[in-house]
Amino acid sequence: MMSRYFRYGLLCLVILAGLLLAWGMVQAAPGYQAVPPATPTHLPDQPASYSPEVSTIDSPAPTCELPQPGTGDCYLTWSYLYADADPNYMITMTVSIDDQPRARYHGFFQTYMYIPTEMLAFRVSCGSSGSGGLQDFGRSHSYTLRARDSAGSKTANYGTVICPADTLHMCLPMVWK
Amino acid sequence: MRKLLIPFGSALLLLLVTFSALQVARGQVPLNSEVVLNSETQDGNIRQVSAPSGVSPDQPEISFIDSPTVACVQPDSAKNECFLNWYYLSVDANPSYIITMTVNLIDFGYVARYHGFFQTSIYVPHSMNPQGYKVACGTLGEGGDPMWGKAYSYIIRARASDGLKSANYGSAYCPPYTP
Repeated sequence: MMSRYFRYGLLCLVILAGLLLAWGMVQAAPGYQAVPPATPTHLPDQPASYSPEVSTIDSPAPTCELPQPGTGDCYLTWSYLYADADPNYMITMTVSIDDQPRARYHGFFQTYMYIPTEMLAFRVSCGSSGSGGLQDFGRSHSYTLRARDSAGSKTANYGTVICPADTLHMCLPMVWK
Repeated sequence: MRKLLIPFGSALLLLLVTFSALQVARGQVPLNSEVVLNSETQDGNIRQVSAPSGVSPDQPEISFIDSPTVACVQPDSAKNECFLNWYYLSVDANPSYIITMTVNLIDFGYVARYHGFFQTSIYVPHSMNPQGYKVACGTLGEGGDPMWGKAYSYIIRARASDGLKSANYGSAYCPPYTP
């Protein structure tokens, strides 16, 4: 039969062993890895080490074309659009026609932005002959191209195109567009 | 009192053992979790390369996904129809093979899945989806920007045969529809 003190001592030893075991397990447990959120939260803009201005927007051959006569629908496009912000990042390039935003192109870790003609096609009204001030041609449409880089520099191109004249023809009733 | 000490002590020991077991369980990394190997952020955009837990390559063999110029275009101002598209999508996992690349528009779910076929890189030009993904333009300010319409968040993911993954997170604002 164990003595009372022996039992107390054994009990204390067991409790101490349990405490040491718990402490050791906590120390050995690896950290929990957090899963990144599926949707990124807003982050501050990347600061530029130095900030030369973004280049002018290269926007050759603004064109108004009439793919299907008799529809009254013309399409405004360019050969391409290009802007360079190196070493800064391109943030956005936007296209507005007749003061209405029609496209926004977003940069993604890129120092320049190139937009091919296939991604630039905007339907506009052709207009009747002379409506833009030129005989044998239709309406004129103004456009604005803007680009912005991560250093906050901005550039813009302003211009006007004149479209071929065309109106929508319907059998009944006659609707001139 | 004496008779209570042993059972009390046993109960305390059992409690401690249970506590330590819970700590071990909490600290263990789940089987399907990933470790981010490389991450970059810029103006709300994020791109990451990750690997399954337990894999720690000296150098990730899958590149960041190249996804320049995400566009939202409104071809016809008379319609509440905008089209999302990328200039191109590209990722390289050489010498491993690309298994898949997916495009997920958060509002709609997966909209594209590109499968690798014995290829170490994948390149998807905009012409493979020339029109883009049709979405609603939204009204002025609907996406939080007072000058633009709705905003759409997207995730592009790629996976290689060695288990490495790459992901791009971003968002695009569309022109507003004004009837």
